[in-house]
Amino acid sequence: MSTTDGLKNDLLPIALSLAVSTLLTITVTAVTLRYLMRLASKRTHNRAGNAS
Amino acid sequence: MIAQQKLTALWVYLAASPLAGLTLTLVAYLCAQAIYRKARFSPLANPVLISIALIVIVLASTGTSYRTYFDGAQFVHFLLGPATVALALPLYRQWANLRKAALPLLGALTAGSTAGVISALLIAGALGASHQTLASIAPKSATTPIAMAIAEHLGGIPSLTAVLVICTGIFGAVTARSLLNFLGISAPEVRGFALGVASHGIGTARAFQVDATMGAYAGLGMGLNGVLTAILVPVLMPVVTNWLH
Repeated sequence: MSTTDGLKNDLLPIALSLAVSTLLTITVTAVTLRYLMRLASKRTHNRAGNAS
Repeated sequence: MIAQQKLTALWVYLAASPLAGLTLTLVAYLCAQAIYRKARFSPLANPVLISIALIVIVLASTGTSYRTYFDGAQFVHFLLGPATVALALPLYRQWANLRKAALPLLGALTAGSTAGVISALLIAGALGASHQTLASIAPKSATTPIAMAIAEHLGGIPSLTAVLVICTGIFGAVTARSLLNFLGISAPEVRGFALGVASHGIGTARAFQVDATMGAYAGLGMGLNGVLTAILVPVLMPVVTNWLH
């Protein structure tokens, strides 16, 4: 089987994998960053509270 | 008839000149920008996507080879290097904020990049994709030169990787706004960083169109993800492919 035929067979796996994985990358990065930024800000406030 | 012959002769002359590729690229982008403005900056009317479509239509309808086109377009291609380095300027302006958020940014980068590589390999592998395809798709969220080098090192097809990288960039730039709105995420830092990690330069260009802060974080996400992908993919790919078999 030639490379072109192989790629034709892989078209659906490529399209699905690309779409789902891109959406997942955006979601995981954004949700994790939002959570970690909130956590860091909460810790900074707590430290400021303890110091005063 | 004579007018048509003159037009054909003019096209043959222009097509042989390197300026034709450059002019075609610039005119296509200007048209795409006009359509983008008309569509009230809808992400579906992404100017990069429209430019590519317009250039493909012109090249296919005139029978011009990609090599001939690229002889002229390489001037724009050359500017990609300085443009990438220029991303350091907005990053420098955000330096104080970036230092404060260093740990959350690194945590999010690791989570997002790992999820992207593993999910791409698992989905394509489970649907029966070949090893060559898996090696080509795994680094798709990294910037093109890095992604192509990774794919080549792992036995993939670098030219296929280049196409998949562009598709990923456009898909991410088109869908990110709706997805992030759905997730209720409005902070420009978070939106920009996620877009840069998932959609490299195309996502970064889109982020700069929306907001300078968003663009700076997208540029950082793109740069860091390029480095992390080069480390993660060679480690994760054998693990995931062994697990699939």
